[in-house]
Amino acid sequence: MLDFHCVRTVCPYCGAGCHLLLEVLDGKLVGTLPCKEDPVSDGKLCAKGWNAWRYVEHPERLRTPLLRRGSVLEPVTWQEALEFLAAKLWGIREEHGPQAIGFFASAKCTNEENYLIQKLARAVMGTNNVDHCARL
Amino acid sequence: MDSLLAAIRAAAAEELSRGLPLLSLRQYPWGVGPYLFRDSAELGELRIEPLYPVGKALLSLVRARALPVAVVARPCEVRQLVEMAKRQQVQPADVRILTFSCDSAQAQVCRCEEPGTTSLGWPELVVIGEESAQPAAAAIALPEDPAERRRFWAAQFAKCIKCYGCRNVCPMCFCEHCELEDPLWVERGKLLPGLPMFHLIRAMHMSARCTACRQCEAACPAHIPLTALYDALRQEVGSLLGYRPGASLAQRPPLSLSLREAPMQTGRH
Repeated sequence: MLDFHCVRTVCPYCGAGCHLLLEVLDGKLVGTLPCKEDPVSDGKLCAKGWNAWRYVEHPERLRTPLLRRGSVLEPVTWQEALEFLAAKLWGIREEHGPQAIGFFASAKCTNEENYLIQKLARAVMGTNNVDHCARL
Repeated sequence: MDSLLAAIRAAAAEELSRGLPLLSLRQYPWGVGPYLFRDSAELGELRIEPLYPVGKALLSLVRARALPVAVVARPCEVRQLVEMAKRQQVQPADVRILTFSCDSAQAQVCRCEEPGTTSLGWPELVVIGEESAQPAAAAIALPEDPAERRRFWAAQFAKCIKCYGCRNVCPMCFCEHCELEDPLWVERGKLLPGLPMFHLIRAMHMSARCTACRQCEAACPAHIPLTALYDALRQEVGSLLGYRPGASLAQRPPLSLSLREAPMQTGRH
């Protein structure tokens, strides 16, 4: 039996955080609608919001971390990717000091995630080099 | 309102008991949105506000061949279904309509000239509740002087951010190829130039389709009074060609050809 329902979510594209409804038909995304009860967007969306659902099942969507080995990007596990990243960051910090490292947060993240990245930058790595994609 | 909602739920329960799934609006834990009801135990969550484009969701169901289906539709949405049927988007036999008259307050909000229900020749249509609404005037105040009016619209179109929300939210925008995505008419990656082809193409395409549900206007982040344009064109189509979108299932649309179907000599087609 066919199922059709909506899911309310937050547009991942910018810091405004407009709510939108995802239309789900038998487990597949088929469209989106602006959320009429959302005081932020007032039931309106921009070009990005209207299309935010399209990448979810896009064939070119990255579904696993990729690590460049030589000239080839190879799929790796998150564990492997994070260990590689941590080792690199610590290596740079030891060789050049914490000021050699910068952290760029994103409007697509939640406030809490952005808080965590600045905490990682300041408390763990010891740098105040924190910036944000909205200024790039 | 409460008694109307109760009557709609009772009628909906009847459809479900006949084995027809029912498309309407539902109170989810997070708010209201379109939903396909199949279990009568959920009908307490059926809502008719805020106004979401139910016809849009219906087209998704039609494409998934989830038919037959019952749908709770406001009068403007019933007229949309009539226009969809004429353009081979739905088969009337596949869709059982439960409809009701909007109230006068809603008619005021929507500038609705036709808030009441009519049968329109749809084979399976149930009218719920009473005809209670006073029609409202569709017109908004526009400058009388043509030059001033042209300036008014130029200023309105200049606000457009090309989100395509008017096209996306419109239940009557079901063309597989949208002229608004054709670089011949609308340049990609640029905001609108002086010649407002984007809005005029859409207005032209709406002239014999728009049933004034006002969803596009509600979705416009630039607050462009889009339907004032469509209302004016609908009036022209009415007086020149004797056609009113959604008025009757039998009447053929006078402008049923798109430019794609009757290509212009541009050297591109």
